[in-house]
Amino acid sequence: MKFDKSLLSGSTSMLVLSLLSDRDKYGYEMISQLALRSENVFEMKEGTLYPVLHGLEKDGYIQGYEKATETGRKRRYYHITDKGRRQLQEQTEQWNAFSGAVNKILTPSEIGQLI
Amino acid sequence: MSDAYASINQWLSKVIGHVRYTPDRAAVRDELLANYEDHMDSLICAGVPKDLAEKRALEALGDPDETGALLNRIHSPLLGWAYRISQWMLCVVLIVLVFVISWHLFSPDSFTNPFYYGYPVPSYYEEHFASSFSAESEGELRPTKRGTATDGIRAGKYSFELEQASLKASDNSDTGELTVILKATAALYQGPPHVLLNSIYAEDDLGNQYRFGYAGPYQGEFMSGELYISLVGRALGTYYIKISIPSSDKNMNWLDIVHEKEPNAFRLRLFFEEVKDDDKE
Repeated sequence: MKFDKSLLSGSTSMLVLSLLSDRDKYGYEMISQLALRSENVFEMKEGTLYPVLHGLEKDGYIQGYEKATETGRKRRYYHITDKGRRQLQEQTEQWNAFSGAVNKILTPSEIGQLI
Repeated sequence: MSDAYASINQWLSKVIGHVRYTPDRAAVRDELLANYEDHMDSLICAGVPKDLAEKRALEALGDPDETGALLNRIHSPLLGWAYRISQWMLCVVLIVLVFVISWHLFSPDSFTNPFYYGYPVPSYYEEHFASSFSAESEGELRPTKRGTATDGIRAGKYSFELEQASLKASDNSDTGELTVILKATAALYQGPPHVLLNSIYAEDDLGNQYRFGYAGPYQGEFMSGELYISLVGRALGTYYIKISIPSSDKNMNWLDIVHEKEPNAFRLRLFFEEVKDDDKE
């Protein structure tokens, strides 16, 4: 299913913070996990992930650092900060309230069609 | 170099061409290239032929203009350069601070490294110091007596020791010009002993008292003379005090320099002896 871009863009930062909440990850790893966990629903253009990551880093929600792999390839990993965790919690609460309210408005038949 | 790599290079060049803050370009490029290589490797591991893997990994990156424009918003040249300049300025401030502190801490306590109240002074100051802060500077009169002290003394947070004491007088006068140079030392943070200066007085064995010249009559008593004081800092924590008594009794044998107020009270006794003719030069 193709999604309206704007539906994803507003929540990308929340998804990224969520992906980093269990352990540090690098860019492509996040993209793979995003596709895997959403069963390929969220397939964003990979290049557009990096502006999101750099913006989150600039705001202090995540912190990047370089680490070399066993093959010697350098990767930039990202680590969620305490500020990032608080932001994730806040965004998750907002999202739950928002999606709950949307679901209440949509009729059961519309939800059935969406699913 | 394969065609795909030429393409990824073109793709990357297009992206970083949008990033106006040039110091960040290399890191952005490396990160995007690593993403491309990771994706390509995972496709090859899944059995996708290399040529196709390169093509699909490149397509997955998306529109370079869109990515570049978004990155340029984050890597703002204004904020980037402001941050970098602030770092340079911080470095300069730290270097200057280290230099100034080292100069103060390690400057030798000598006339070669002058300070006036802790600040460096121009070179002409050396000549001024050499001529003003000497008990036996050039003049018409020659020293007839010189003073000594047995020990230095401690007054509160300052230590005092005698550097020079000299009495100059002519044969046809009962008074002479007395000059005493004291060296005061204290902890670096203590500052110069200004508080002491206007309440120092001196008295000799002949009953003469010499009071601070600008203080007026002391408790209504008659004063047979006045003394004048000047202070100069030579390095942090090291100060020289010059006490001049322009009209002192030339027959004195000793002179006490006194400060009565606590916590810096002290009494320093100087013993004067005639200068032999051989020593007068």
